[in-house]
Amino acid sequence: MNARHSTSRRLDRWDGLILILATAVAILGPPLFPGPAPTAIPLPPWIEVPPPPVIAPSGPAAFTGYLLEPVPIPDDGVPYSAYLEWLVGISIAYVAIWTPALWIIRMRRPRPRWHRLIRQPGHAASSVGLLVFAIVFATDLLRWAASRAGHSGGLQLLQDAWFAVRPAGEAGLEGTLHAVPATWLIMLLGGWWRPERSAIDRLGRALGAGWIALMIAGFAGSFLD
Amino acid sequence: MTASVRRKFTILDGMILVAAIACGFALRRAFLNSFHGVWVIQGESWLMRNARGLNWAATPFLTMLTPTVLLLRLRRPRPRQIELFRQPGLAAGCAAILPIAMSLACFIRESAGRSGELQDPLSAAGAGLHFQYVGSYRVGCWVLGSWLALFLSGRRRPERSWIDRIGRILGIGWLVVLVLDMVDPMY
Repeated sequence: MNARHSTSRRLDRWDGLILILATAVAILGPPLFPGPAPTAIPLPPWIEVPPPPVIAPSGPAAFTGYLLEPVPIPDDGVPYSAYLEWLVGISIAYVAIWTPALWIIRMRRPRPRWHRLIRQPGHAASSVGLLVFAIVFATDLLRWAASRAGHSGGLQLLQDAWFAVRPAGEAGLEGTLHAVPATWLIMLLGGWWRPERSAIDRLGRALGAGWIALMIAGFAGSFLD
Repeated sequence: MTASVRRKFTILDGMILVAAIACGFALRRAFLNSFHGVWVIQGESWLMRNARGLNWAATPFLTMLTPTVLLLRLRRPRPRQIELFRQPGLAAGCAAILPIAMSLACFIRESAGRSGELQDPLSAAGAGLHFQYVGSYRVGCWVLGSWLALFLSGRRRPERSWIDRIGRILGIGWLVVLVLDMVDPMY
């Protein structure tokens, strides 16, 4: 019988560089995509629109702005849901950018074969998460493109397309937020959860746990008003 | 080799499904009453208006049928666990249960408001809208994630039985609702 050689590898300096680059993109990237101004949908008069939270993302520096501002302390003036929203807003950019970074790190050689790789929870979470993000992002951009059909082109079209990237990205992130726990649930129930004893898969599992924590935080916000 | 266990459709299964559809009708009526009908944005196309109507009509039925079909699948006789969770119908049902429960909990909580007392939960239009869009979006993403996980791992094994077919139809229904949510400007 041939011995099966382990194809797991250790983290090296190139992996470190990838993670550093990803962190830089998470800090500097979001302000480049400001997003369009919100348009109000006229609501019937019997609908009471709740007041906006005290801490709310505003303008292009929503994510990096939080890094520079002091941590809001929940008190009589700041509802807990706004505090959770701040927490989710500051964290999701990093979790989102590290997901493709860890996927690239895992796919570098030497690596196990795909059918072994996909059983690792870290890699399964990042693969499904990226795929769902791509599907939702593309669908949202197609919806935007369809809504722009027949309108004028040129520079205005390019500017509008640039503004459309952020909402599409946020929709994609929300999709990933729910796709990752679904993947892990199916892996656990199906009995094909096979974590690898390596730093790469441990990082991937930590990232998956981060996505789940963000999902729980977002859900808990509606109960803490 | 163990033969796959296939459960036949019984009268009890039919009765349970009919009851679930009746609950879906009740939930749909409650939502439409709280919304005072399907909303229309001035100037939008016929296609978008009807797509929204389809979305608002389908979500209550999917909400009631999904846990029902899941429970029917888990009734004996059933395949072994390792075969069971390879079926896309069951995977979609298992994936959808948690976000449905979360969305219903949010719906009840928002209907109750700050007083904590359960007011008329079925007439709170704002809570209903949250369930209709945010809740169904979550469920669609959970179903999409579970099916992609099965597909990427090569473990997808659909069963040629009525129950897995119904589960797959419900999963496709949630994905259609997800797409309709995304294209609706009201989302």
